[in-house]
Amino acid sequence: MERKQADYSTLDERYTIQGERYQGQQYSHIYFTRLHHMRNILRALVPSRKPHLPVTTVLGLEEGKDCVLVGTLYKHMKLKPSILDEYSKERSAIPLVKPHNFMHPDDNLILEDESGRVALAGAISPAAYVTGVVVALHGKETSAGNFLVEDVLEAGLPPQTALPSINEDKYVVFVSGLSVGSSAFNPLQFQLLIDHITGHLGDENEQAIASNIVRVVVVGNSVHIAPRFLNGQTVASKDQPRIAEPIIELDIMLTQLVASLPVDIMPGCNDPANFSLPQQPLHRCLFAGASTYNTFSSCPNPHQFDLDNVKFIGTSGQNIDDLYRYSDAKDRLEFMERTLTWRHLAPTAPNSLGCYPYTDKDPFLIESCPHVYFVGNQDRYETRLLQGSEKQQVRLISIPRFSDSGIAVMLNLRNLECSTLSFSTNFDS
Amino acid sequence: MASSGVKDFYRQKKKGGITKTSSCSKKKTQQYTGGASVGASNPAQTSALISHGSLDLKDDISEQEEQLRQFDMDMKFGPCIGVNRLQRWERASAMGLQPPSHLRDLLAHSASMNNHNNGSPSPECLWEGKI
Repeated sequence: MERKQADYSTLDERYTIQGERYQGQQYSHIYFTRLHHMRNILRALVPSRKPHLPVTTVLGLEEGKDCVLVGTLYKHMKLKPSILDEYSKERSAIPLVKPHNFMHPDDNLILEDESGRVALAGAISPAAYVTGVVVALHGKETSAGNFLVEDVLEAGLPPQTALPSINEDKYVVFVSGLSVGSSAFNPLQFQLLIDHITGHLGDENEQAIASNIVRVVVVGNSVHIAPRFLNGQTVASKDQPRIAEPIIELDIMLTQLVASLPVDIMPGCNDPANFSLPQQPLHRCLFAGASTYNTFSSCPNPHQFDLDNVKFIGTSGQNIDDLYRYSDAKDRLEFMERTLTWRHLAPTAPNSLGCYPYTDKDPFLIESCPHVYFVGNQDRYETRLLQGSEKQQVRLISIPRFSDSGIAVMLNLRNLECSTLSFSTNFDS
Repeated sequence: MASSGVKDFYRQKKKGGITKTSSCSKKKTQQYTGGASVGASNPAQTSALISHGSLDLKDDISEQEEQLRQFDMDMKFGPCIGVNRLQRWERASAMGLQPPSHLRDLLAHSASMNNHNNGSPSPECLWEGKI
C-alpha cells in the first residue's frame, strides 16, 4: 500500500519577519495601511450597493445629509482592562462580572478616519464589532453631532479561485493543543493517533484510509511548560533539563510521524515562540530528531498554504479567542465568518492582541478567499461550509484541544468534507 | 509665582499643539528608554540630533527642508514617526497616493551625499529625535 502525495506550496512569506529594523515606530502605521487598503475595496462597492450617495470623510460631514463614511471602528468599552487601572488611586467600582468577556451594555462604537472621529448610533450593534474593523457606513449626522447609521457595508468575502477538481480521496489531518507535558496529556492517546495515521493500526480497510492522509498540521500549543519555570526568575541548573522534557517528548512523537508523511507544525500561545503575531516558526533545533527529515516543516502562525491548489489559511486560535473576549456571537464559527467578511484575520491586533509594528503593510489582510479556514485550540469541534455572495465556498473548522477531547480533524480535499478522528483510552466510555 | 505658572501653561499648550504627536511622545520615550542599550549607537538618531542642534543655532532652514517638512506634516501620506522620509515616500508611492516626485530626487540626492550637517535636508522626519 502506498501513501498518496499532494503538491504543497507554502504562502508564508507574508508572515515571516526578516530584516525588519525597529525604528521607534508605533502602531499608527498598521491602522493607516489597513484603512487605506480597505477603503479602496469599500469605495468600489459603494456605486453598486448605495448608488447616488456621496462618500465623505468625518471632517466633511454635514448635518442631516445622507452620505457614506469609510473608517476604522473603535469600540469604547467600560470593562476593557487597562494597565492604567493598576496605578489609579481609587479602586475600580465596576466588578468584572464575566472574566472571560469584557462586554457591557454601555459599550459604544466610534468611527475614525484620518480627519477625525465621530460617535455612532442607530443600526449598528456594538456587540458584533470590535476595534480595528474597517467598514463603510450609510447614514447622516444628527443635531447632537452623532452619526446615525442606517446601513453597514462590509467588504464581504474576498474573491476566490475555483476549487480544483480532485477525483480521489486525500485527507489532511489537523491536530491542536497536544499539550505534551501537561497533566491532561495522555501519551497513549497521542500514540494511537500516530499509529493510526502511519498505518500501524486497524485492518486493511483502515490502513487504506490512513494511506490517503497526505499531510498532518499541528495547530499550536503542542507543549505545556510548567508555569513555575516561566515566572521570570533564573531556572536552577538542575531544573533546566526538565523544561526541555516536553519538547523532547514531542520530538520523539513527531519523528514517528515525519518518517511516514509530511508534517507542518505551527506555534501557539503556550509554545516557546514569540508572543506577538505573526508568531515565527519554532526553531528547528528544538526538534533534533524530526528536523532531520525533509517532510518536517516548522511554520509561522498564521499559516497559509496550498495543497493540490486547495487554499488553506489557519491560526492557532489567538485571533478568535480575542474576538470572543471583546464581542459576541453564537459560536466560534461565526467569529471566523466575520473575520472573512471583514477581510482581516486579526482585527483586534494591535489593540488587544500582540502584533509586530509593521510600517509598510498589514499582513493579516485577507486578499484572496481560502477554501479551508481552520482555527486551533478551541473548546469543541465545529464545522460549517460557508457560502459567499459570489459563489465562494469556505470550509470553516474549529479544532478542539486534543489533550482535552482526544479529537483530531480529518478533511477530505476532494469535497472539503470534514470528519473527526476520536481516540479514547478508557474502556467504559 | 503667578507668572511662572502662566509660562508653564503656555509651554505645555505649545507642546500639545499637535495633539497626535504629543500623545505619542509619552509612549515613545518609554520605548526608547526600554531599548536604550540597543538604540544608543543608532547612527540615524545621532544624525537627527545634530541636525536638530544646527537648526536651533541658525534658526533658518533651506527651501528643500521646508518642502520636506510640508511633506512630513501631510497626513494623507500616513504617519511619519518611525519611518524615514524616503521610506515614507516609497510607501506612499506603492499605495498609489502619488507623493510629489521631486521630493524623491531630493531625498535620494541627499542620501548619496551622506552628509546632513551642511544645509542639505535631513533624511529623517521632522519629529525624529524630538519626542
